[in-house]
Amino acid sequence: MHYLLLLQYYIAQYGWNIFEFVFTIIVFIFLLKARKFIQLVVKLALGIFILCAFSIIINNEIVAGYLAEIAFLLLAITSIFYFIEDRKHGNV
Amino acid sequence: MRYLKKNRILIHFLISFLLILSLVFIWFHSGYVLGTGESGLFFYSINNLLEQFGQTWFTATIGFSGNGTPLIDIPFFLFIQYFRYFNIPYVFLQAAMYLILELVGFMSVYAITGRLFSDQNSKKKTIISFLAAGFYIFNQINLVLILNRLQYPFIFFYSLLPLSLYFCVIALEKKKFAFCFLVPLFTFFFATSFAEISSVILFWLVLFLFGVFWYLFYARTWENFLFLIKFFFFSIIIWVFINAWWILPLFQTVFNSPYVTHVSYNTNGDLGILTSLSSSLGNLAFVFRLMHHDFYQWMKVPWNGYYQNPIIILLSFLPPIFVFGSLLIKKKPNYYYFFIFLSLLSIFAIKGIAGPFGEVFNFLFTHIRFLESFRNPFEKFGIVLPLFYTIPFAYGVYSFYEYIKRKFSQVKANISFILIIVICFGFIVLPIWNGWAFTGSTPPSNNLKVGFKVNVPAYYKEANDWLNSQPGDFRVIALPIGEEDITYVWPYGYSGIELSNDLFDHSFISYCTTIQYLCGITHELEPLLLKNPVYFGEALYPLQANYVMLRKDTNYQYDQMQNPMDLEKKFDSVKSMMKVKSFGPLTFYKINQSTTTKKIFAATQGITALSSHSFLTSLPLADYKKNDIYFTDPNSFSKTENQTHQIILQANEYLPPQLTVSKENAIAELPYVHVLPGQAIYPLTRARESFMDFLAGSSNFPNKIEESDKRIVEVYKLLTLGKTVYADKTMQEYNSLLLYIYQNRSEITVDKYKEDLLRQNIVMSDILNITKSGKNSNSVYVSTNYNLNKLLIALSLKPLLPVNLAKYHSYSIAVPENGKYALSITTQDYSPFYKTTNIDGKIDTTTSFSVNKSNQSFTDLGTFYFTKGDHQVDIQIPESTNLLSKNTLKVSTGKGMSDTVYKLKVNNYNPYDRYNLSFDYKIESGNPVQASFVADTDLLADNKVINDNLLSANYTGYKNQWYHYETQVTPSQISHAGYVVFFETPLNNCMKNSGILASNKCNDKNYSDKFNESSSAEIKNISFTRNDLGSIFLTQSREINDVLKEPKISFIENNPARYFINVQNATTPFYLTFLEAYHPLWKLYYVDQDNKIAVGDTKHFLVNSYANAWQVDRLGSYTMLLEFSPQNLFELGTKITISTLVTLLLILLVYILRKRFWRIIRKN
Repeated sequence: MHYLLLLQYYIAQYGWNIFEFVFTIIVFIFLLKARKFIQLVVKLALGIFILCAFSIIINNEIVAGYLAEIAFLLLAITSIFYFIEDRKHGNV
Repeated sequence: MRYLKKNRILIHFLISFLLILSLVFIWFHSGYVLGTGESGLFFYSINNLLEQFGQTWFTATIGFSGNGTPLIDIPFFLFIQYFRYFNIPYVFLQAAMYLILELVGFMSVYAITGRLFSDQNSKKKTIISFLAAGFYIFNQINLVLILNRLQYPFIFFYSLLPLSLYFCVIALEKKKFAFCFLVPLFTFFFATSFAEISSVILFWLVLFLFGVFWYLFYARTWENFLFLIKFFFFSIIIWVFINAWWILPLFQTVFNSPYVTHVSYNTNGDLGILTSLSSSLGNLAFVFRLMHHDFYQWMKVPWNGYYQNPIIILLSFLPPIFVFGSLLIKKKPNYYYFFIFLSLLSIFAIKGIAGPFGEVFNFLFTHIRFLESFRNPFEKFGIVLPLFYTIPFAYGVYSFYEYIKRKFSQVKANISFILIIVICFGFIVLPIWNGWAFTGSTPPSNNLKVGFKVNVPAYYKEANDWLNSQPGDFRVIALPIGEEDITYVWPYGYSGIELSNDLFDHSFISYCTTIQYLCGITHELEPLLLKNPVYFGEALYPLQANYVMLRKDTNYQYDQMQNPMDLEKKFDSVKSMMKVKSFGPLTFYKINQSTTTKKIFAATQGITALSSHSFLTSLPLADYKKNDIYFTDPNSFSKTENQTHQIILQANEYLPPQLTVSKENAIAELPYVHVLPGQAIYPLTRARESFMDFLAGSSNFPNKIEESDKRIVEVYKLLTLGKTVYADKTMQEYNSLLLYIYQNRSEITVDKYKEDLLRQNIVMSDILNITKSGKNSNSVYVSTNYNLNKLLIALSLKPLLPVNLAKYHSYSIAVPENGKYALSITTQDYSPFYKTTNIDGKIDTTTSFSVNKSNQSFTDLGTFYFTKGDHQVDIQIPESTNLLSKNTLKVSTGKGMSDTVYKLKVNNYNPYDRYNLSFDYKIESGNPVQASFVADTDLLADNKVINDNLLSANYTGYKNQWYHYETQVTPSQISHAGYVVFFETPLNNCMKNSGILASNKCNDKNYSDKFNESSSAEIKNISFTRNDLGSIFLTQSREINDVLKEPKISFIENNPARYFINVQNATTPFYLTFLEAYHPLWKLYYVDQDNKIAVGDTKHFLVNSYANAWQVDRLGSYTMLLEFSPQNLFELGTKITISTLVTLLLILLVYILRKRFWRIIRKN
């Protein structure tokens, strides 16, 4: 029971962090395997910005913040992939 | 036309100049200078600023060293002073400063972009360069952090960074060492940028990262690597040489200042600030848009909710969309990834410990000491983000334009391009265009017509001229006096850091700030004037203050300062002071000329006045004689006791902490311990603790408290199980933790830690009972208990000796030597508050006394013999009188009604007293009743009191049951009347009854009020009693056996940091007193021909609660040198700076001339 409560506590406390960590790894692996979707991921991140805007308009800044965090992760990962790609083609 | 075509750069410069000029015209067209916040009013009296801050010792207020940083502004001040010689108005100078700095930023970004897009066609390069440069000016960071903050270091840094990056780009591309000189050379003109250590770090970090990027991806050869290393090495060396005038004294002051090493350093405080700022400003939905989350909330009312408009919210996402949308473009320009990576890295840093992966930032922050200067990450890292956004933004917008042109038509492309420009450089940053950028959220700056514009009334100049015409060197005290901020009610008023030291040439004691010793004095001045006006004049001699200025042009209600009319009435009672002059709302009072003090004088005797406040609290008891000094340093009593003719000791009252610790549940409320020492998996739990300590780094203090909690619970459990060997060992570990906590007790800032220690004390007494009953009396338990007690006493969680705090007020006092002392208590009128006038008490819980209160301001409690050391005086609390005329109330709000308020006036109210408030209450229906203590000076907003004293009663939700509530009330000292207020709010069922779809209507008060249900409560035994018996003093009059003789002293002030003192005919030792703030780096020397012989630091001590004195033993006539030692480094640094600058300029001149010479030779 004690450990179950502890587990509950950690999920409540770090659940979002764990999700972001897992999400980052999944997106990373996904792009590693299917690099052609990279443009789509960037567009998705930019689309999330629009969702952020609507979220702020309806006074929900917290949700906007979470969405922006996802967008940040997507942009950070895709920029690395773009960089590697451009290096490969001798553009950098 | 051909000329213009040839000189395209000149045209671009002219366009940029006109653009920035038009902005500056908008900001300054009214003809008033701008001033607010921490920057004060730089553009008012530059000579005064240079005099105050031109040396290592700053003479403002009581004097301070300022840790060397204001020295940075000297080149800036000198430039302004130079132009003032030509009588150019300050407003033009300030406008010119903005014009130059914004233009430098604009042109630097333009030049960087042009350089990086050098392979593109000319038209494309020009458009992209202008877009990037435009973005650098028209963005939210420039609006909020640069323009609105009005912090000169930020403004300078914002221009310097792109300029230096440009030089760095050229230096690395051309691989020319000449640029090693250019980068640091310009830092001299922009030295103001480096006022904060974080700016220095960021400056070099950005350049260094560019260098690394250049080497790794564009020039990866050994030769280039060597060039890069050499470039940075020489640049940094030359930078240090050029900035030597402030770097050298800064180092000495920082590492020698007790304030820096002991007071300001608190890692948990830094972490607390970081955590709170990250949670409010780290929201990425705002960071991406370069927006300061809180700023736009503050400005919602003054700016009519402009940034809350849904269209503006949507449009504000355009810049990040273009910045990161540029990732989709196929062929990216050189260094594009440097800017995009740095953008992401900056965003990651700006959000602090907020997600995602904020733990990484937290780990770095708690493990790398210098990162503590980044505890406000939005402000520190935010300033560099626009620079990294510029190129991706410009490239994104231009590519979008080309895309539209390709897909649709040139016309559509042009229209969309213009639209983007209007939105991004216009609508989103409208406050830059209409001047709102220089408005604030508090009066008077929230008036959009006034904003930060300041027009100092002419009477200040008249008053300053008059003061300057008065003989002597003196300070002035300004009343009313408050904290750092002040609001003036001039037509173009000012709100920000108090200005007296900027408006006048003389030093003013006019506000409390972080200057050491200052607040101890400023906080006592007004209470002394209001409570004991007769003695107020005597406060002025030790402060070297000859005048008091009473000002009536401040918004004292808003600033929560004393009403100047109340103060004015008291001046009639002040001895030896008279009103001498008035200038508009400023009135000057002067002290009797014959008793004024010089800055440096010889003293031979004084009064030992030891108190946790300043010497001012001892004045009513002091037998002050001319030239007396107050010996206020408890550690130097041995040096001064023979020349002390009176000792006055003020006792510290023990105030029980208002904490909730239950004796019965103490162990249950401490952390639960599942595994005990001796069990197989116990090492794992300890390994986890070590890992958590490692993660917390320098902020591991909370972990240590938790570990101590666990250790004591483990000991208790082990003892109950009879495992004494493990218990003894664990107790030793607990003892070590207690010693650690004792050493770092300044970090105990949270009530929870104090509560935990009190719980530990309860568990400790149980442990002692077990060990005694089990005949297991071990010395480790006794010594640990002693250490715990010592800690609790040091934290004021326990009185010195056991006493029943329900019946007694307890005071502790440190007696410096054995002897008979008169014990007295301040006893202002007792009769309205207590039912007896008898004062009963005990000394050290044994010696009793009982006296009848006298009608004087002090009652003598008798003379007692005290040994050297700590003592306790306990005064019995007499039976109190209720100060409220009613003690029962029935409060209710009827159905559909709004809030109901019941106000009970406090009789015989005195704002300097503390009070106890208690009552019993029963909730009958609806919402629980709320209570509050309100004073007549509390601020109002929308006709409602903004009250910090809202009392939280512990209502558990059960109705028709009696609850008891009691608390202590400490009123604001500026108030005149106090009220206990009960208010009942109706229970609103709008959300419940309207259903989800109509729930948004509940925001409408008229609609929502229809759903109000009645609330009612009964309150009885309402009691408001005084809980303040007065202050306790010990005094002793002494005979001085060896009467010393004052020598004749004269002195010459070389500068505020150096004085030459001439001592004539010293026949006995004496105390050389110097009335500037005490600092260990003030050094006194005997000057024998060319030799300086130091008067040792052991003879240097604190007097008058702020000033310096040295015990001087040498007899005869001689010269002494008194100097603030960083001054020598400052002078050395200035020489290094000037010689480096001259050398660099000569090298540059030779370089240019040589080039020209060869060109002529080649032509011929």
